[in-house]
Amino acid sequence: MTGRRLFARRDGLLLGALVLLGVVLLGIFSRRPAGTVAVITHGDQVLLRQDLTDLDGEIRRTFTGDGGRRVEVFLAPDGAQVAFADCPDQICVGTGRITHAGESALCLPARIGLYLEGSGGADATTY
Amino acid sequence: MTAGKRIALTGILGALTVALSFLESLLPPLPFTPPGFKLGLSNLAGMYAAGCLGLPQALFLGALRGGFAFLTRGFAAGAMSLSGGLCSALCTWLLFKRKSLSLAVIGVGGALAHNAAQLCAAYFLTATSVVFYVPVLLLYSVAAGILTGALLRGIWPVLSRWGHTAR
Repeated sequence: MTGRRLFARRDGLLLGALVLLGVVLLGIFSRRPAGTVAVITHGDQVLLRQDLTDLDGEIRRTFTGDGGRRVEVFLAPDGAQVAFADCPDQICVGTGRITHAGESALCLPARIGLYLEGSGGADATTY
Repeated sequence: MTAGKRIALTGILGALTVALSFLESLLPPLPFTPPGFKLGLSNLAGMYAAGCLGLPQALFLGALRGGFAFLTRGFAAGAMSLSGGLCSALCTWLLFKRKSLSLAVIGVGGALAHNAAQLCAAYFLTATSVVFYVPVLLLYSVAAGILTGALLRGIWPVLSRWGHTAR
């Protein structure tokens, strides 16, 4: 076991194939259409579905998730982002602005998710 | 290795994995990495356990790390850490059974399993699609896996001195 090497002969091929797969997927994903509908969920419940093309400017909405954690979402015609979350991780805030359909920003401690869909969603509906 | 030594070494590795997990949580985010990205240093003890002690010990360390995350950072972090830790331990143990595989490939396999399990956990917690993260995590898993494989190669003699390798 201690004699196990860091790299073996064919590792370059395998690791190179994984990197290539990642780059190809990245290329495919970056060609997704722009997100036109922002959806905010808490667990499997949809809290808000907002058609971004209906917006004249930027709006902010605040949601409360698990443990009373607040998540403030910033919606604009060209994208959405989590502006504030009162959790220690700040991963959702660090995700930054999402602009393409399929992209998401998740606040796991609050179990609140923000994601974008392509065109075809319903007009603004609040539950 | 006697049962007593095995238990003692598992305990030491458990303390090491919790300490590394805590230290890693104190590190600032690395530049040019996705949000929440971690190098997986706390996985080193689990990798060593999977290679030298066996599956139960590796799974125990994964569960211990999950429990530590649950106690210090809450349910979501605990669920993410537990799912990643258990899947990574299982994958690493399976890869260690193939004598021809290098530590870099084992590290990358463990990192991929860890990230895949965490993506599934994130999906179940928020019911939000996480497919968009796959390409980025794939690329960073390769980098982080090679790094942890190299680190494990470096600290292997130290860990072996603590408890003499079982095989």
